[in-house]
Amino acid sequence: MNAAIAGAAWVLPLTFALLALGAALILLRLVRGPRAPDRVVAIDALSMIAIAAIALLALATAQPMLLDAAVVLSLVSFLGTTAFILLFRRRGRGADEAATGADARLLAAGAAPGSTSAQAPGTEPEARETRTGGGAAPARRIREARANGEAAQ
Amino acid sequence: MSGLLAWLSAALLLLGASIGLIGAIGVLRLPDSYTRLHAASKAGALGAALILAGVAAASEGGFALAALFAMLVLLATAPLAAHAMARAAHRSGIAPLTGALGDALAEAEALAEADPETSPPKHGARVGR
Repeated sequence: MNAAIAGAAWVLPLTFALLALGAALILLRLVRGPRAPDRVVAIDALSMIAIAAIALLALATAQPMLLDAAVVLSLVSFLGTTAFILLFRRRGRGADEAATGADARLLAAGAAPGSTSAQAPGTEPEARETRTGGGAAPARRIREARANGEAAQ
Repeated sequence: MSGLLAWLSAALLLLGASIGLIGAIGVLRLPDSYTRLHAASKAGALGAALILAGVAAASEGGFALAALFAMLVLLATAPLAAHAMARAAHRSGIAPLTGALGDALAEAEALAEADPETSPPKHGARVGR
């Protein structure tokens, strides 16, 4: 089985080395990642690299039964990723994370309500408000902007 | 024929490992959760699928079929996982880095919350909670 690859003496170690380098980079992101989705993305990418490494190991050690492990891991990694997704729905955040991006937008909208109307002077009010709007509070601003636009027409 | 398959297998293995490494660099270097997800889901899945194709080209019989089945499962489930993860991250309030066009999904959700009857059914608008 090992003879089925041209240049197996250097192709297989080089492929293993490239995979190990990629796994090290993803591991760095897993450790560093500032928020929960970054870590879930890193775990997903690591499971893909693990699938490839197990298949390569089946080829290098001439034990094709290891391919079944690769099949099972490719089936299970999807379930693992979707199980992680359940952890951060609805403003889910870890204990070490202060505020999400929507919180920053809401704080900015509440602190300086006139600051968004000062930018982009040439556009329509509705377009400007929807451009800057994002979370729950901008819905009210969009409704007001629509009322103002209809009153102006 | 076997010589051709041997060269094809070696080329697929090296190409898959290279693309996987590029995806890993993207996961490390890109600035945003969504762009990192983009790198991991597309380049990572393509790299693993190419390596599995190389293994399938090098092996024979049922084992080649097993490797092809793993490749098909990977190609079918990786976009699903990436889509679900991006949607859940956006719903949990993680803002993407946007360019000049803004965050279209947030705009559609804000419009749907403002008045759900008169707002047009945009692409990407929420159907149900």
